[in-house]
Amino acid sequence: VDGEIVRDIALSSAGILCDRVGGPSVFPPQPPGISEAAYSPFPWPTSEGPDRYRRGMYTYQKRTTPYPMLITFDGPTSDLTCTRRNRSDTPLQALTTLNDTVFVEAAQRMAQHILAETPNCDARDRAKLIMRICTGRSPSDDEVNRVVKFYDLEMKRFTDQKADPVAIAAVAGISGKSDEPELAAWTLVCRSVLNLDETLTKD
Amino acid sequence: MSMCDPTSYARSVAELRRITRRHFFSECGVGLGKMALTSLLFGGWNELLAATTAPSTMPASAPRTFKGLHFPARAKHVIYLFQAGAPSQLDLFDYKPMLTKYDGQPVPAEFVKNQRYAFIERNAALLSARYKFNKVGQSGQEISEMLPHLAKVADEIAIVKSMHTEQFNHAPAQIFTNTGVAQIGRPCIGSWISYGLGTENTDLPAFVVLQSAKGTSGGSANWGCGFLPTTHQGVMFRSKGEPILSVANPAGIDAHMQRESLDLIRDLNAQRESAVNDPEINTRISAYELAYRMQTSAPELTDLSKEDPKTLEMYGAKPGQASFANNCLLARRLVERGVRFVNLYHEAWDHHTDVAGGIKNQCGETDQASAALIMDLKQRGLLDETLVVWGGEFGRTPMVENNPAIGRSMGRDHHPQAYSVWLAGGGIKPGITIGMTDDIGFNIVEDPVDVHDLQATILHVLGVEHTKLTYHYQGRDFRLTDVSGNVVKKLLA
Repeated sequence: VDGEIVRDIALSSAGILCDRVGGPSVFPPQPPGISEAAYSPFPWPTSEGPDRYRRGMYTYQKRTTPYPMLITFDGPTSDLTCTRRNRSDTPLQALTTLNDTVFVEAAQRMAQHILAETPNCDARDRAKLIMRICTGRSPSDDEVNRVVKFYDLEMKRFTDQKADPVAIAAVAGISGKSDEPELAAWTLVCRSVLNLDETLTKD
Repeated sequence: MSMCDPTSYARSVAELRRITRRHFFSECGVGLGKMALTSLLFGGWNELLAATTAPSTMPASAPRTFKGLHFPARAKHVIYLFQAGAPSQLDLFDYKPMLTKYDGQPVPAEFVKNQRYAFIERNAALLSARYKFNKVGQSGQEISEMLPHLAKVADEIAIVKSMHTEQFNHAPAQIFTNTGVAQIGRPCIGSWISYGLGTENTDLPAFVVLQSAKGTSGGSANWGCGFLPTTHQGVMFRSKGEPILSVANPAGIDAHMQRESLDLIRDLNAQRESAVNDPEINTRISAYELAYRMQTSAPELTDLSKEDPKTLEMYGAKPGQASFANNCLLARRLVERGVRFVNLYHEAWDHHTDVAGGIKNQCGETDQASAALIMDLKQRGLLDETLVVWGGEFGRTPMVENNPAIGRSMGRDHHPQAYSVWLAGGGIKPGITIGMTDDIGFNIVEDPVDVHDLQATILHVLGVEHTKLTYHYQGRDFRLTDVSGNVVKKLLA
C-alpha cells in the first residue's frame, strides 16, 4: 500500500478523512525541525480544520526536504520518475504509525467517535466495531478476547494506578470529561488496531 | 487432496508458504536461498535488508581483514565528514608560495583560457593564502596554521591535493560526489554500501546521516537510495531533540503502555498469521519488535552526557547541543555499535566573501573534533577498521572575488579544477600527500583523482570491487562509478 494510502486508511478509520478534491497543497503535522533544517528553511504552517485531514496526495512537497512520513513509506521523491514504488516493511515505518502526531490523532479521534456512537455498548461490542472498521471483517472470539483483555489492563492503569489519561486523549475539543480514562484506554486500543498488519495493508 | 488428511493438508500449507515466500522475494528481485542464508547469519535489521542485499562472491577472508563483498576488506565502517559549501584548499592544504608572490596581480591568461565563473571576472587578481602553512609531524605534510589540531594527527592522514570534479555548483556537485552522477535520482555511496554489505548492528540502520550548520544544498538526494530498495536510504539522526523521528512515545504513553500495546499488536498479528499463513505478517512482527528495540537503544546511543568528560573535552562536544563536534562523537558511537556508513554534513564553507574570516570560523567549528575523531578511534582500536574521509564538493579559486554590488570582498569563487581532501584509517597509507597542482593551484599537474576514483577507492578498502557492485534497473546494470573510476593505489596501505 502506498504511503499516502497508509495515511488515508488511518484517517478514514477514524472517520476524519476530508474527501474534498483538488485545491492547493496542505501542510499536515510533521515532526519539528524538518523544514528548519533545509538549505533554505521554509515555513510549514500546519493546517487546521478539514485541511489537516486531507488525503495524503495533497501533502505539500519540497524537493530538498520531502515530507518524512511519505519518504519512510517508500514514497518517491521528486528527484526521479517512478514507474513502480519499492516495497518495504521497516522499523521506521512502525515508529511512524505508532508515534507520529497524524496517527496518534487518528487514534484519538477514532476512540472519540466509537464512544460517542456506542453509548449503550459494552467493551466486547466496541472491540468488535473497532476491529471491523480497521480490518473490514468480523473478528474471531479469540481476537475480541485479546483486545478486551488489553482494554481492561489499560483501564486499570488509569483507574487504579493513576496514570494520567488527559495527555493520551488530548486532541482539540477533548478535555475535562469524566469519561477520560475510558477515552484514553480506547485511544490505546484504536492505536494498536490501526497498527495491525491487516489494517496497514488493506487495499 | 482431501482437507481431512492431516499429512497432505500440512504439506499443502508448507507448499503455499513456500510459494508465497518465493513470490515475495522475487518481487524484491532476489531468490529465496539468499534471504534465508543472510537472515540466518544476521537477523534483525539485516533480515529486512537481506531480501535486497547484493550477493557475496567473497572467498574466506584472511586474518586482520574483514569480510568484504568481493575480497577481504581493510575497513568495515566509513565516516564521511562532508564539508559542504566547498572549503578553500588554498588556505588549508595546498600551499602556493607563487600566489603570495603575485598577490593582487591578474591571473595569467594561459590559465584561464575559456573558463567562465559564476561571480568573478576571468582576469580577477590572484589572492595569496590567508594563513601561514607549517610542515608538521614526522611526515612533514604542509597544513595551514588554521588546523592546529589536525596538524597533531598529520601522520595519520593521507592528503590528496589533486581532486577534481566536473560540477561547478553546489547542489549538482554534492550529488555528483555522493552518487557519481550530477542529476538527482541515483543511489548515494552510503546506500550502495548498505546494499553491498548490510550492517553489523541489527538494532540500527546501516547508513546514518548527521547534519550540522545549515541544511545541504543538495538536500535529501545526497543520502537518497535512488532505485535501490528504500531500506538502504540514509536515516537522519538528530543530535538535538528526538534522535530519530517518532522514536519517542507520544505524550502520556509510558514504557509499560507502549510494551503492552506492542504485545497486543504482536498477538493479533500472530493470530492472523496462523489463520491466513501470510509470511509477510511475520516480517511485520519483526519490524515492530525492532522498532521497540530502537526506542530503547536510540536515546542511550545519542545521549553524550555519559561520555567521559575528557572525551567530551577532546572533541569540544557539549551534550544537548547540535554541533559538528557532537556529531563527530556520535559518529564514533555509531561505528562502535556496528553502523556501516556515517555521513556527517557540515554546510558552512561557501566563502564568496571574507574567506579569511570564514576559514577561521569554520576551522574553529570543525578542526578540533575532526582530529579528536581520529585520535579517539585510534585509542579504541577502531581506526584500523574505519575509513574516515574529509572533503567538500569542489575547491575555490586562486583569484579573489570582489563585488561591492552584492557586498562581497576578499572571497574565493567555485573551482572544480582542483581541490584537496584527506583520508585516514583502515586501508589508507598514513602520513602521505599525493597529487600536485601548478604554481598558482589552478590546474592539476600530477596524479589527478576524480570523484569516481575516490568512490572506487572507498569501495575498495571495504572489500568491494566497484565495477562489480551493480543493480539492474531500467534494462541495464548501474553502478556507483558509472562507467569510470580507478582505485587510487598510491593511497592504499
